[in-house]
Amino acid sequence: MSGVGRSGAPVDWDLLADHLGGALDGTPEATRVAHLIATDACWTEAAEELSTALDAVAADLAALPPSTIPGDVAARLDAALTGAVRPDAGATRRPGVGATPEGSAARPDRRGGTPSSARPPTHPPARPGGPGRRTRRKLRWGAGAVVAAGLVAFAAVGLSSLPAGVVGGDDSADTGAAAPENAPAEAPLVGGDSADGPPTSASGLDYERSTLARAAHGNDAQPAAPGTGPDSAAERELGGEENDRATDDYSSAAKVPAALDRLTDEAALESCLSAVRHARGDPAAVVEVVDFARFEGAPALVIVFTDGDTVRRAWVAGPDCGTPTGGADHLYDAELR
Amino acid sequence: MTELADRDDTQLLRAHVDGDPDAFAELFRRHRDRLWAVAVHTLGDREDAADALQDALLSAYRAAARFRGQAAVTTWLHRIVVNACLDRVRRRRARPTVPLPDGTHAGAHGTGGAEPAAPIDDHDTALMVRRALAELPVEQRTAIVLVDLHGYPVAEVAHLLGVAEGTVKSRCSRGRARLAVLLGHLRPRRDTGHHPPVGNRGGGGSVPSGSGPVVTEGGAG
Repeated sequence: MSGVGRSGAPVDWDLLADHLGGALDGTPEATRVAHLIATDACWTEAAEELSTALDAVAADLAALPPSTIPGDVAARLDAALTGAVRPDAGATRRPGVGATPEGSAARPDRRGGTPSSARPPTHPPARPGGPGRRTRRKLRWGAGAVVAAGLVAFAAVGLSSLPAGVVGGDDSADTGAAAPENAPAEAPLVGGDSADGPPTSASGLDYERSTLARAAHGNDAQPAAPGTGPDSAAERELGGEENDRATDDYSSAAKVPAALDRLTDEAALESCLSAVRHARGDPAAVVEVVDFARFEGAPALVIVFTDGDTVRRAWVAGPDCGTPTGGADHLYDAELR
Repeated sequence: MTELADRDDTQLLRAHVDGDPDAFAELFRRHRDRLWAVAVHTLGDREDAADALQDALLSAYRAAARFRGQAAVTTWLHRIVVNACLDRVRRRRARPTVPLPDGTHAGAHGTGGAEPAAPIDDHDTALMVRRALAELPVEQRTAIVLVDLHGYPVAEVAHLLGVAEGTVKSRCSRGRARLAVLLGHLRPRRDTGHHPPVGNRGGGGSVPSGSGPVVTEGGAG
């Protein structure tokens, strides 16, 4: 079937997948899709086909034998633990204090005064930097508003009560705002590739200590643009929206302070985030927001993360974050309430 | 040892922080199969998984004092392992990629490396499923590994990944749909040829523009 049903709306396989998976529940999109499935022969057929296929996948996944750790890997890890450095003393850490790479000899604690004293842990060799040396994977830009709007609710009602899909990325269930008429011509290509990488934005804001909470609570005055979450660029081939998306992508990219350009490379950003986790001594920290903005006038990454226990924290990092000499390039950090 | 085996996870971690030399190893022994499974299914490569798991374990070993017990120890451990895996993928992805004729790039979603070692008596299907999993963009793969393979509730996975529940559901659904195509349960569709066969690329399908936003034509109006 060509995909153009009686309603005129080409079947959007990604949207169908979202619908069948419950990602649209509670949104206007759910109603719209349900209506299409009920009234448009192409959508009806596609939904049945996809549903059957998804059941088959579920069966395949369920049939995977449980993985057990290979003996040699277990032995290797046991040996690594035997030689490991003892846990850092104390639960409260200041950036840079006791920041010791895993597995190496313990170093004396350092004061947090010189943020760059926090050394990042050893990682698999990063590709040498420099333009042209490698293909740099650029970040996709999430509209600050989309992230922000979600985070308003996020902060208000707690982690698990977010409106579907509003934060962090998959615009997939971004919902109501998506223009139905522009549903893409098929291709379960899906997976509408969710863009990988942490949720990034470029709000254009200049934060102060007192306004850091805005990074988590919503800081973008722009209206939530449809399909502009970090994943959206690849998620749905929404014809009519791609101009909006491209514009937002450019406008977002344009707000990135030049000094932070190095960090728009995904690997460089990941090094930075890893350095921050290391500086905090918290490998369980989960990053929720990365705003390429300014802090007290200077270009800075404003990072919001939940620590291993659910406390949310803002960490401000300078342009050298993640470099061998820059460590976490800590400028400021504070718990967010 | 018997005494250690009788303690719950939180007690073990506390014992470790207090200086017990065997407590952490005991904790790891309890959960290592699941943690290994998460790593190997997320990374699709046995050696990478072993490296990531080692990094994660050592991080956890050292950071144990920071754990305040508000979340489950296993959740904490999973967060650390997932972070370590995603970290590896995101760094690995930056490596030079080989452009394909249609403009997409092989290895764009960092699935390079050997498939996870399968038991000798493994059914072909399992191998195919693992290979297909390795083809997914890492964040879909992670969601599916945690929700579908490990049975974690969506809410918990959302917390683990720092995203909305709806995002988790969407990643799972779209990932499953993608798996459906890869495993032959669903015919791949093409429209005017903008979309390459499913699974080729982590970056958004169609287009020539590589890492930029997806540009499709026309689209209706």
